[in-house]
Amino acid sequence: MKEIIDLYSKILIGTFSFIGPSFTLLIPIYYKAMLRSNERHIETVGNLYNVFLDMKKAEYPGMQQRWLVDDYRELLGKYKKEMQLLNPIRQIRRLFVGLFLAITFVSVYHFLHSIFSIGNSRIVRVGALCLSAASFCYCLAVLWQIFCTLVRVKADDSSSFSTPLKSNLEYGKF
Amino acid sequence: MENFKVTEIVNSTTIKVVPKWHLSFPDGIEFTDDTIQIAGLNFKEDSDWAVRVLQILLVGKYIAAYDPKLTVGQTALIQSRIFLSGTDILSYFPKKLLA
Repeated sequence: MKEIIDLYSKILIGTFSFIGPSFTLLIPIYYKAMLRSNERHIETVGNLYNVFLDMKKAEYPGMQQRWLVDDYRELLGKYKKEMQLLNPIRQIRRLFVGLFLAITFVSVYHFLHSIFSIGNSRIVRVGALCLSAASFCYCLAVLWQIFCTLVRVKADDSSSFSTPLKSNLEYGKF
Repeated sequence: MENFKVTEIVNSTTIKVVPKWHLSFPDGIEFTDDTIQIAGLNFKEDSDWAVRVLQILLVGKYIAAYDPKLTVGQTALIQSRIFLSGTDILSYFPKKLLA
């Protein structure tokens, strides 16, 4: 068990030293794309809100209206959540708070396990280890969300579509 | 590159734009028209709510169209992906309703 906890502590330190440099590199690369995506999301949420308000007022037969209102409420919630994921400062704060708590709790475990331990602190030690593991899982979930967001930001960029439809004015035909 | 203004919603999948679009192929065949079928939308043509959503979102707005393809037996000659303020119009519809 001791070896596993030692390994876990090393993984925590390794993750900490991996996240710092990777974010220093990733954020400047994706920053403009994230800003553009955020602007698009702001406009999309505004448009969706107009649709949502209209759906609430409209009268469609049977259960259709209730379904539509629920679907659009869900869609609005999804876009609002994505907007939060597009805020890099907020995401870095979430990530580092999780990681810092994980390291703090595992340090508490090691401290209580050492010769400085006072009395029978087994429950506190196990509790600290569990809290550390929970914080680390939260940190990994945030990291996964951030990477998925970065992939989506790139994929959503309309400039990636290569064949624009042109107007007859652009062809000089009237 | 928003180069078309939506003037009318023809039905739940088709819009009318100004100026007219122009499509030319390497073999010299050319097409020009003002209606575009929105790629990815497959609602019934008389779906009231879909027409209403398109009216709120698109009428009077500037759009960009990408990846045009010729259609067969449809109201519009071509279908194309439509972007409003850089966002694919399909994003404005709940996924389960698009399926």
